[in-house]
Amino acid sequence: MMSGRVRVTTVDEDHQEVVVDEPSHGEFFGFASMLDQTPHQTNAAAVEETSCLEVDRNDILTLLQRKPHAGMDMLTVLGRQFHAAQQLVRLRAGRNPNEIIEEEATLANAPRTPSPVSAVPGLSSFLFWSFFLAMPA
Amino acid sequence: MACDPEALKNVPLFALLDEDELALLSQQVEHKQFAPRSAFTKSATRAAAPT
Repeated sequence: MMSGRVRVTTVDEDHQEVVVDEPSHGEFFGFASMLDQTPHQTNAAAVEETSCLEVDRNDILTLLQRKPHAGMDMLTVLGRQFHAAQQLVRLRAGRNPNEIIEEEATLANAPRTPSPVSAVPGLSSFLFWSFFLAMPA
Repeated sequence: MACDPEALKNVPLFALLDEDELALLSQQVEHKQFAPRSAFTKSATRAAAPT
């Protein structure tokens, strides 16, 4: 996505439309379905005038055929995102809920720091799709 | 319509590609504009392309 605003939605088991992602500049959506050639599991619509780059599976294939090292570059990025996701899960899993509640009660008026998810470009989408695709059908 | 290779540098997945790789990829991808409330669907011509 290059500019504008996009909303990615799905319909839950109660037939309610749920927003699952609002990709920002430089982020992608529909990526997993594009790669594994399966129907998209979500819908996407422009909220305002939006500019996007459509990357097809064949675009990636052509790049890899002519420039094989590009594959390592992209895998490196995905590896970094995977590491960041693992680190985030480790941090979250290791926290005591009672301590978090106490912290929030104590620091209710303190300035908020950015989420570790928002600090890594594309990580929110990566996390969403990792968990979404891991869910049983 | 191809895109400016510079535009691809802002995409995290392509952040480590060199100039030649970005130039090649920029010739492959399509730059598209969407009006408000329009749904994203796969282009018919590209969907029919061989894999």
